[in-house]
Formats: sequence, C-alpha cells, structure tokens
Amino acid sequence: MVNISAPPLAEPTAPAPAGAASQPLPRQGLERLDLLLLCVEALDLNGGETLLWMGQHLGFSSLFPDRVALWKLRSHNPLRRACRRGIPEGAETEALIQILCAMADRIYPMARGLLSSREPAELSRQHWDLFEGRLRELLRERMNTRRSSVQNLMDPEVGAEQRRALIQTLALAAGPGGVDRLRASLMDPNP
Amino acid sequence: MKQTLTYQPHSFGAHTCRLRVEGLPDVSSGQGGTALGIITGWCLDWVGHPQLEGRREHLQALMTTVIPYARHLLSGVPRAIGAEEDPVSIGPDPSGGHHMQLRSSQPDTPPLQLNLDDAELADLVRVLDQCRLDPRIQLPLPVPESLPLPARELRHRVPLRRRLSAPVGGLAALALAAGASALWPTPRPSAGPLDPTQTSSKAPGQPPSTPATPASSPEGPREGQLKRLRTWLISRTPANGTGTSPQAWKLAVNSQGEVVAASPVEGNGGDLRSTLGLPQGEVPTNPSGDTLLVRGVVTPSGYWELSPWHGW
Repeated sequence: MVNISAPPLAEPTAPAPAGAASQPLPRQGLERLDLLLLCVEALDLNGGETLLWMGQHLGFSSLFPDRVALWKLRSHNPLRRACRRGIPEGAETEALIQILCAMADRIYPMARGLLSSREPAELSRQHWDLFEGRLRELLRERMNTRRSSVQNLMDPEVGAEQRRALIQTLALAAGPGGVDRLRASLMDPNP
Repeated sequence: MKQTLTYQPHSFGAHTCRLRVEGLPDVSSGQGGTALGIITGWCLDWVGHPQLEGRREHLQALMTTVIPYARHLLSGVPRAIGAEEDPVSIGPDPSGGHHMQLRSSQPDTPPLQLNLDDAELADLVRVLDQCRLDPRIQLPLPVPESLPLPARELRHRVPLRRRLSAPVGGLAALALAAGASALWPTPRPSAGPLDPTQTSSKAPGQPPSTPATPASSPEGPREGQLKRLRTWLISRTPANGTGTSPQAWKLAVNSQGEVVAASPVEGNGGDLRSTLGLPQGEVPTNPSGDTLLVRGVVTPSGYWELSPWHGW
C-alpha cells in the first residue's frame, strides 16, 4: 500500500463555467467582494501587501501591477468613502475572486477558529474582539460611515450576524474549490 | 498497486477532519503511477464524531449533498438538501449549526445523525473539494454546477417593510388620486360662447340670449358696434323657421350699429334677405374705415350667431 498526501492546496483550480468570467458583478456582489477582502485584511495584519503578492503569484500582474490598480478596482464598491463610477470588467472581478479564495485558503485556520464551537469560549471571544476591532478600524478608515449598511456592520450587536456570515463565507470559499461557489453567490441577482 | 490518498482541511496544525480515499489505477485505461481510476473505499475520520466509511457511491452522495448546501449558505440561504430516501441529507439545525443524516444501505440500520458546527462543515467541504479536484483521481465525481440563485430565493434579504412599501405606496397614491378627482368641482355649463368677441342675438319673439361680452369689461368701439348691431337685429322681423339649415351672411355695420349692406356667403342663396330685414345692397369690396365687417349666421331656430369677419 502506498500512502500519498493531498496535493498543495493552491495548485488545482476549478474550471470556470463558460462565460462566467466575462460577466460583470452586480452592485451587491461588488460590495460583498470588497467587504470579504476587508475581512481578510482584518484577519491578516499584512493583508494589503499579501493581496498584491498573491495577485502576482496567481499571474495577475498585468491586471494589478501595483497597489494603486488594486485599490482602483476595489473602489468600485459603492460603500467606499471615495467610490468610482462604472462597472469593472469581468476579467478584473474574476481575478479578484481568485485572489480572495487563495487568501481565504491562507487564513483558513484563523477563520475556522472563529467559527468553531469547540474552542474555549473566552479564547473565542478574544479572537472575535480582535477581529471586530480591526474590521471596525478598516471600515471607519475606508468606507462611507454615513451609509446605514456600514453603520450596521460596525455596530457591535446589530452587525454580529453579518460579520459571522462574512467569516463563514471565507471559510466555505477557501481554496480552489470555492471559486465557483463564491462567484455564483456574488452573481446572485438583486431581489 | 493499492493507493491511499489523504485530504486534510489545511496543511498544518491539528487536523480535526481527514478523508482517506483508497483505490487502484485503472490499468485497462492505461493508468499508472499515482493515478486512481477505481475507488475501493473511503474513510472520514472526524474528531468528536464517529468514523464514516463507504464505497464510491456514498462518497458521490456526500459530495452532491454537502457542496450544494455550502453553495446556498454562501448566499445566506440555509436550505436543506437531500430527501428522506437519499443516503445523505443535510440542513440547518434549529438549535444552531447543521444537521446531517447518513442512511446506511444495510437493512435495519438506523440513520446516523451528525450535528456539525460551521467549522466542521467548512472542514468537510474543503476535504471534499480537494478530493473532487484532485487530478490524480481520474474518474468523474460530478457535483451540481454552482449557479446564481433565482431572485425568489433571495427575497429574505430585503426587509419586510421595504418589500411592502412599493405596493402599499401605490395603493395609497391610487386612493389619493381617486379621492382628489371625486372632490374636484365639475365645470359649470357655459353661459355663452367662449369667444368674448362672439355674441348671439335672438330675433323678436324669442328670449334674448346673454351677451358674451363681460359687463365689467371696458367697451371698445368694436364691442359697441356689435352691441348695437345686436339691438338692430332684434328689432328686425322674426326669423323663426326661415330654413332648415344655417344661412351665413357677410354684414357691413356702420358706427351706429346698423347693417348697411349684406352679402350672402357660404352657399346661402340670399332669398331671405327681405324676410330678415337686411338691406338690399351688397357689401363693397373696400368698405369705409368705420365700417365693421361681421359674419352673421341665422340658425334654423332663429338665432343670429355673430362673429368678426376674418374672411376664409
């Protein structure tokens, strides 16, 4: 009998459905995508730099040659303090989705620890406090805090469920297998 | 040679979930090396849960149930996947977390109940993803394609108040418009011709019609001539029953309001000239400056409809 371990997580990539990469994301999809990236930055102290590095590692250097290009794309989020008009191209959002899934793969142990009910309650509370504090700072720094949805997300009680949903999304979208799932959920129509 | 592929949620730290897939390369298809074309069995070790084992069909059932459930969770729609007779079903647990049922193909074996938290579900999804996307497994393990959900499944995202605001607002606007239109006063019947310069006269024997010129308005030279013309016409012979169709006349009126000349127009033969008391003279082509040209029409009921002459 030969025992073989699993391949490295970032190697295989799920094939994208035909035409999925060329479709632009709806407004709510752009908002969620940027919020998920913000959660990654809140979990990873060096997240901003790692996002850029991950983009280059995955072969998106032409789309994101520097952090300004990445910032310009993320600024299409209507919740941003300084948001850009227009709709980003499908290839750009697809690249951002793949970067997000790869980043979620890196921070999976942290996201898992936040979601686990088997962790000691006090330790879990400390982790949540740390994450929520960083996320609140990032939201205050980059988002339009006059928007009610941003205020709700920053609210310690009202936004708790939404913050947990964001972490759960990161955990379920982590890795190459999560790209399709995340893309499909971001493409959900506005009800 | 029998091979075992091992999948873990992440590559470091303690592993709470481990999937081992055992199989053989399908030599008849030319497979060799590390490829795995025949799955002989699999085993899922889970900390805090009983070990799961099964054949390829069970692994396939686990994938086609758990991965679509995770897809729905990403959209915030925790919907149960799998029916009662399916080997695997999973759905949200009312007390929190997720409830999975595994039904054995062995008779008289009760289904295995598993309560998973979000982290354990994420672990399971990750190992299943790694397994189905592993290029070394060269047999199809299809799962339903991830597609955007229809809008009807996402209605819960919009608060009830906002969902009801549009129809309720529409009904309120309709009721307001209906009420306002009911209160709006209906227009009174017109007391005279709308054109202030137009007037009508009634021959003697008939009640005079109301002059159209407002009494309060200043009386200009034309209005004065028309008023005197009306008086002049009333003093003529009654014109009741003079014809079955209206008869039009071109009247020349002097400054005293008297008709000094009349020409039949618009198909009028002029045979009622004397009956109507009109002068015999025809209206000159170039009347004098103080002469007012008026178009008069005698209706079958005897009324004179007068209006300034504008030609045709």
